[in-house]
Amino acid sequence: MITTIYKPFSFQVTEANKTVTANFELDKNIVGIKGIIIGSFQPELMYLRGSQRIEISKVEIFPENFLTQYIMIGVATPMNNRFKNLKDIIPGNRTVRVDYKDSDDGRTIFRPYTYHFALEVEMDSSL
Amino acid sequence: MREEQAIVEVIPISKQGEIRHFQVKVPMNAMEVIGIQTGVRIKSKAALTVIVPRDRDVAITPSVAVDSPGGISVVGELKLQSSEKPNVFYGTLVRDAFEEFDFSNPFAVPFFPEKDWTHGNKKEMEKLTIDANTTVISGVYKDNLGAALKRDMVYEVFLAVWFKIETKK
Repeated sequence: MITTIYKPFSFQVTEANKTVTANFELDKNIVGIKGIIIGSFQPELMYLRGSQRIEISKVEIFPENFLTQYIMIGVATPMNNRFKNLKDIIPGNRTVRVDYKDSDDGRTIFRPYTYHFALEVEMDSSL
Repeated sequence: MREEQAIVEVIPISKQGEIRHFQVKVPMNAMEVIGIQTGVRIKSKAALTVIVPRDRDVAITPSVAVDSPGGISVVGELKLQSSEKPNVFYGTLVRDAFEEFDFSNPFAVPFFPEKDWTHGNKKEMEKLTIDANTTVISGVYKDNLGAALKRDMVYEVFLAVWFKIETKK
């Protein structure tokens, strides 16, 4: 039976103007990757300072310098429309790599923050 | 195999009224330009100005490093041109959502000020359908923020061009 679940991941951004690389692995019973959502408890820092490159199964989904604000959402977004659609992703080797780059924005003062993201995935419970 | 691919171009601006020409390389297997996204990152800092009060020997730096663009939401004008038939196929005023001018139906909640990262909608690309037979897309960006404030503002404009990619079946 195929079920849709949401896999959360997070990592810390502790230094300003640095790139943080994080690698994650998806479970073997995941057969499809449908969407992504990104957020933080300090959303203004992530919104104004962040950009990232995301790779799933060695395939580049978002290129370097892709602004985090393109993927972030607010409370005005309907609940069933919050994930960015990744319609054509094949799970492959099930590795997820995020290269997150923090860059100075004159309107913010850096303090450590956490980068949260979640993947909407299809899981085959019979595997 | 992905059917869509984005190329991001970062356009640095540092002078008042600056006009910058740039090129975006089109991937070899691109079939169409399907979308555009823009964004801004302001680099200027007002806090670099040090205030020295007359009755003190010690300089005091403002605690808030915020350089407000002064209520100007349109930071510049962007145009893209293909060397093929469509010629100038895209033009837009690049906006900074930080200035909150784009909320059409605001609802006020005390102690929860309306910002794009708390109240904003999901960002979608501006959809286009342009042949990507060309090898490069030429672009020109003209600064409005520095020109309006009458001083040099340092910032970066981010341009993401989405392509439809030919996939092997």
